[in-house]
Amino acid sequence: MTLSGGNAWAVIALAALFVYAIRFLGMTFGSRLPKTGAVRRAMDALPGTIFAALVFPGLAEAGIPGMAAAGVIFAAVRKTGSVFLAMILGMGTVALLRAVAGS
Amino acid sequence: MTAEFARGFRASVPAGIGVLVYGLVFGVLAAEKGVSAPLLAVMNVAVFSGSAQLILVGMWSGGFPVWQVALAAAVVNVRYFLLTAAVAPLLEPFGKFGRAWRVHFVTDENWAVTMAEGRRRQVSGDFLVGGGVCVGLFWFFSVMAGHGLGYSIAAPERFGLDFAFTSLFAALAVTMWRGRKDIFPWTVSAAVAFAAFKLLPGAWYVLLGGAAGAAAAAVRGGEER
Repeated sequence: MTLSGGNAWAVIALAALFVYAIRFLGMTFGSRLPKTGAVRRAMDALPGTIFAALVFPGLAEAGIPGMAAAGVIFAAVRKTGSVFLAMILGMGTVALLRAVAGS
Repeated sequence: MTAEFARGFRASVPAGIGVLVYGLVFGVLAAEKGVSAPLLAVMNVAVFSGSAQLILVGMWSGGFPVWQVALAAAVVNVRYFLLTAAVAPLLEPFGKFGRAWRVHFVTDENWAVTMAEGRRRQVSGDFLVGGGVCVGLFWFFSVMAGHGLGYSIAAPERFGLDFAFTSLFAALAVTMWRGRKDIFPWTVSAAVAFAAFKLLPGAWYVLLGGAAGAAAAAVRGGEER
């Protein structure tokens, strides 16, 4: 099912509201945030863990080609620093391994 | 428009060119997911955050509840809290209403440019906003151009485009990798996410996995670098 009609506008409005709230609250209350300790460690780790959570099931679902692509992507970002190149190489790996498996 | 605004705008042009590449890719993917041009245009202005928009579009066709998608997009942007906290002194002189709209123009790119400039001289809020407008224009037009392009690509699965989001997210995840101290939180995050993905409906796996990983980082203690 794809988001459409009112739901599509609603998700954009809600996301816009949330993201703006983060910007505004950071400006207003950010200086009161602890600079060290558990809360700070959790906040610093959060962006990375969200991406890990988002990406891992997708890679696992793609099976062996997915895992191989993950290795290629990791190496590509580390070697070249280019997210775009890594993305293309990852897609290429999956397409290639699928073609090999299919033939 | 002040001289500082123009200066900030110019200083963010190189960052804007980086945004342009990312925007084109994002636009193609958005077209792929069936996000219409008006929706995308409004999203570019109203949400104005690459990572949040990527999450929105990535989860667009998953059949997830609206609030879960919006929440996932927001959570990935919690770091903005820290960015806007750091530039709060620059926005202070504009007054309550003045800073309320200006803070919307804080993005990773012009924030970094402004912080770097601030190390060399006394920088102003207009410099920050000028950079934000620059990045915003690059973002808006590159995304719309990519969207136009995306509609013209036939049979996308031939190019592995169905794997594009996973591939892009994986690449972005690698850039967020902070070294060995992330091994434990990320393992917890991936394990919880995978379990939730199998057991629970909707987008719970993203939120639960991310939260569990962050909690793991909080509990672990140890070194802070």
